[in-house]
Amino acid sequence: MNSSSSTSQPFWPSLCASLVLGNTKEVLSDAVSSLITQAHQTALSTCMHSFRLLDSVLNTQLHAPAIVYFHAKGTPVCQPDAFLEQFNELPTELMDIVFQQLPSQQNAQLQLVCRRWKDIARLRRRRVEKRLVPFLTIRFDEKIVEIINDCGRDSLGIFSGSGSHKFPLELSSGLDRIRVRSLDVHLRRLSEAVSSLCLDQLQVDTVNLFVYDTTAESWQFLEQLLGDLKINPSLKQCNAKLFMHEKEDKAPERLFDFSSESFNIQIC
Amino acid sequence: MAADGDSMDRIVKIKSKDGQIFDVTLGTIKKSKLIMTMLEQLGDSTDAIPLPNVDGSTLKKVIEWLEHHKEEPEPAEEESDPLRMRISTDISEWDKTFFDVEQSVLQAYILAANYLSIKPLLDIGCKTVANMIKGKTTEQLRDLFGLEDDFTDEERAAIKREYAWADDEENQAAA
Repeated sequence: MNSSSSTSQPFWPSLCASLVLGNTKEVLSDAVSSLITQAHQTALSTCMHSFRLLDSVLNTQLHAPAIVYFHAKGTPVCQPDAFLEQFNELPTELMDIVFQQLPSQQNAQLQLVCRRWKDIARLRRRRVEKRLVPFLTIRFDEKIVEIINDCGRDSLGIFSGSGSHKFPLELSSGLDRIRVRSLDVHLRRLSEAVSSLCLDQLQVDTVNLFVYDTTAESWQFLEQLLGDLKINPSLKQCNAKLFMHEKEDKAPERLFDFSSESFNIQIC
Repeated sequence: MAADGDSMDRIVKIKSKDGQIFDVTLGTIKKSKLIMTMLEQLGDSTDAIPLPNVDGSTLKKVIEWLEHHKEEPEPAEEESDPLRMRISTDISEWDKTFFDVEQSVLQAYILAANYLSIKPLLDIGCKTVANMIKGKTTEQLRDLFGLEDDFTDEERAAIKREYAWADDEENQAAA
């Protein structure tokens, strides 16, 4: 490094002088290293702002490697505010892996940065992210399934822009794109079509089942449904309420085989 | 390639871009899918395997990393649950020190891990970068990476609209 340009020298005059003398790089390097020293004492963002200013004023790439070099030298890489322009050169597939390591809550921020980032973040979203629906109600009435998003918002994309919709039975395509915190399922009429609810795969924390159909032929379908829930890996708690029409009605014993600490079956 | 305990001591020669030759045991290098594939193709040949995309200093560090991690089992090929894939951005102390380098070097490690197909090394490298991005706002990210906001107002609004619901949910969680 040129010893004649000491770091205590005022920056702008020496820069102007250097433009004449042709040793811009050294002066800049010194200036940058002193900026970095300052940055350690003051806010890093201010320092970053100074770098950007330098960039725009000089509009040259000449100093860029020096900045990155000094910055990296003076600041450990784990330092959260280190300069990261280097990584823009990473190919898309590697940026994708980087993004995959980030929590999904940050996806919106990533997408809003620029077009390239949006495209990369979307790669991962298609693969991984499931939209979180805090509360969801499914009303199942043999052939018609009604899904109600209890928040009543109509921006719930997967439901074709409406919070309350009647659906044909091909539900799996919609339900595998969401995760639900609490799901209420009202079963008015049970049939073999319950399996189309795919409750073995739906990502859900808690399921509350309300069963109003307690006819003799319905039990096998309920059993199938409970079996699906039992093997659901994400399910933490399941509460099933069976509403009996007649006092004498009895649920078959085998249904209670499903009971456990996290699996609560109740007759009402 | 199935290899028993004895063959793990076999010496493999690998040659960097700048012509440096490194002797490594098969046990050390086995995490590199590229080299394992090349060895299969080469058969009994004892020629050094050329690695034209990795320079000597990077390769030396990669070997150091492999040496340190050689006893660790291979991670499962495919995680069935994609959410579980990114349970944490935790990195062990040893790896943290290993990756505490200039960014151009970190980038070289990541590119080398990708080229050599060493998934665990690639993952940690990417995690290290992810940790720098984590929790940053859009504005901060643009600043850090020196990126320009190249969206039209409509595009920006469309993305925000799409995420309005998710924001809501977070607000609820915070409340």
